[in-house]
Amino acid sequence: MSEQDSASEKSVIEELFGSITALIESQDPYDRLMLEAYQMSLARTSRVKRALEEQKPTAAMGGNCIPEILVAMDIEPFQFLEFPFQDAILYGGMEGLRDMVDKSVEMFGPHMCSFVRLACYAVEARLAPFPTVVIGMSSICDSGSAAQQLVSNHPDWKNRPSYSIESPARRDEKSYEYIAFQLKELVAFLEKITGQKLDLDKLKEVCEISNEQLQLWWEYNELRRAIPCPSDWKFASMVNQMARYWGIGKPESTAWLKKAVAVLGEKVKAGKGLEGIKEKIRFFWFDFPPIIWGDRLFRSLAEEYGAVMVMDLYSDNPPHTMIDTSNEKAMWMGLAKRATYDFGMPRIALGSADLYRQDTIRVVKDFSMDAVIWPGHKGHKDAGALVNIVAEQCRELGVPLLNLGCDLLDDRVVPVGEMKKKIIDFFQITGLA
Amino acid sequence: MRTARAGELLKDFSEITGTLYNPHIGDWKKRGGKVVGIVCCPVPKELIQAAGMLPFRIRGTGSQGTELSEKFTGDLCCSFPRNFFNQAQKGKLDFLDGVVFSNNCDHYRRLYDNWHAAGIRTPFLHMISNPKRIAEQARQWYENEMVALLNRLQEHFGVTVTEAELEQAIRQSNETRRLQRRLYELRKAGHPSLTGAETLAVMVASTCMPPQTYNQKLESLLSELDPAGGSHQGIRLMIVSSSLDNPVFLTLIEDLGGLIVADYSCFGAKLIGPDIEENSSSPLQALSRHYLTEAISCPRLYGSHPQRIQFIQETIREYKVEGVIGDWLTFCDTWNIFHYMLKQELKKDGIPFLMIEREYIPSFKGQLKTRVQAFLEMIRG
Repeated sequence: MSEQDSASEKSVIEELFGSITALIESQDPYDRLMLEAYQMSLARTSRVKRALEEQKPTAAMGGNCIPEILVAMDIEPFQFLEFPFQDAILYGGMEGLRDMVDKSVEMFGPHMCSFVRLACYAVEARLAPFPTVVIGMSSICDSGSAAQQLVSNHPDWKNRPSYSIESPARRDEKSYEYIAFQLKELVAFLEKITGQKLDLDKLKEVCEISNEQLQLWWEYNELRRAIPCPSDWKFASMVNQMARYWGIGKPESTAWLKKAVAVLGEKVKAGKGLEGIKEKIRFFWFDFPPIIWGDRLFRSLAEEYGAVMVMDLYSDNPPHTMIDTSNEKAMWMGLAKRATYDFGMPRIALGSADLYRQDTIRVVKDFSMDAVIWPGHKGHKDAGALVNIVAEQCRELGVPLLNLGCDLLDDRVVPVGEMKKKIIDFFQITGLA
Repeated sequence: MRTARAGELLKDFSEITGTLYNPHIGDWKKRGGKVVGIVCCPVPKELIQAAGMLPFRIRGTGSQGTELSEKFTGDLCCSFPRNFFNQAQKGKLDFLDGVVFSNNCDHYRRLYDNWHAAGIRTPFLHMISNPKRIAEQARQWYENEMVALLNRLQEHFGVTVTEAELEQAIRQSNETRRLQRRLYELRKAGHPSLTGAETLAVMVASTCMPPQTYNQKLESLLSELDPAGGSHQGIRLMIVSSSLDNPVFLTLIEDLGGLIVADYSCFGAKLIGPDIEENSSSPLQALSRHYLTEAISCPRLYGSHPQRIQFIQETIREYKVEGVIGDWLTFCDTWNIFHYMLKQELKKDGIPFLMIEREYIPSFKGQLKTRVQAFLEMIRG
């Protein structure tokens, strides 16, 4: 890599994650932990890449719904878009990513979710690595479901084993039984494809570690209720990754989560908020955080206006299912519920309007929110149709809501400056700033 | 030459389609009949018929805008539900005694939530969660959903549905399919006796009038149309579309020199498909099997793409189609990706394909008109 390439790579990483150099030089335990998390993340990426190269069992996922099963079966999970996305940024910088986005628009137009569109483009452009199996969730969103059809019928992919989990549009015991049946069917499918058998004792062990990790995540989030908020959204994303994605079932992730709770606990005791920020406004970002441009927006809002994004949809940890490992049936039902009800996109995309209302009330009250920002990501069409219901709920709670309008991936759709102006205007109009 | 009687019948179908509250619904209601709206194909109309009610496939016909809907749906919602939701808020669907939604797409699903929120006072609301994958377990789920719907219909409306009544509804529905198949056969002629727009009006009418009356009327029309063909000519086109319920859109294409002779669309060929098994030991099992695995599949159904492509390719051959128009409503991701995939398949087969993006209310001017003209000229060579 040339010096210029190296400089360009550094600037991209710093644009995304802030100053790595400052983290390396910092002695603050919070910063040290963040650095450790990045290192663990890089190690995990290398591990998956190696597994792909060595053709060890891997699973590309279109949603992150069943990590416990994959971990127990020693199958490396990764997100379908993960490597094309990473490669575009690392080798082409932000321009590389934007180029990919533009090409995906040429194929599918501008109205589809940019993340799903990019995944489709990655398949068409032969940028996505071939896993042992593809696992999707056909009911999270229309674009995700349609993308699965595209992948499973693409000439390069149609002979590759794939399985699609379906979650009904309702939440009750019957639904969980239906999902649990599919999970067992998936295991039989994975055993056949990979030759690796599921050891129920191993699954039990992973579920128990995962239960502990979720409990630690919950404890971490409880600490985020403190005023001022002791943790930023990037740290929260790492907690999510450890407890809900690549850290699942791994003792080293549990150890990291314990340290995170301890470090945050010390910050709360000392009344410390975010470094250098005088917190004045606490807001709930009602979607997942925009990893590409989030730092630019959230950092400047915090530094200039004391407006801190205290919670987002993906680092929110609602009252969740602790998987009952006392018997096999209960374990499968617990996995089914956790996979489709507890967290992130499956919860929110498949949830009813009542669930949106309940989550709004809980997060606003528990975290003492002054405002709710509804990002209005262009791809989240089902959520988009619930903004009025959430706004009504916010009105009842006496908390203002801003329907921002953005693309969570591509900041050319609505520039960060424009978003910032809208948010500042909103804070000023509502008397918060 | 078309007979005067055929002309009258086609005009009648067109008038039925051109409004939401047509005279047949008025008569039905006057006799104390109940009307239950259904949203999308996978809500089995036969269940509603068996309960002695009239199924009405919800449309936005007559809508002039979506000003009332946008407060609820935001601006990323497909214009088809946005328009019929607007009509519902204006009271244009007040004649409905119930609405059965399905989770067929994100937009319909959220409309169910908003229907409540907007305070629309439809007495009976239900959501059917129909599967998105083809598997025996999914079929069983679907059958249970049908049982749940039937139970709620019986409970709410105070009716009892027997197996014999279900069988009768299936037979009646199959009779409609057989007649519609005959209608579609006429389109295979070199010079068909009816246009694509006229066919669409006949098909849409089947979703909003009593089946017995519809079958009689369609039988009469078929007896008036010459199976050997008529006088219509033009570039033979197939339309591939989701919620295309307005014949005006097809008239605009046909006025430019195209002739829609075939379709794969929700208010067209997808209403027909194969017959539902009659005299089955379990009518509900037969219905769930039909809607999940036998009916012409929807792009939402995982694992059904090859079957869908095969249907389109066979239709192209049988109807001597010269070009395909993919009609896409903005914001519908399911059909956007499907059209993309279809385009690749048709390219391999050397079939010209044009994708048109539009909103539900037809505004077919300027650029779109030019694109269709250019497409037709390209086919003419």
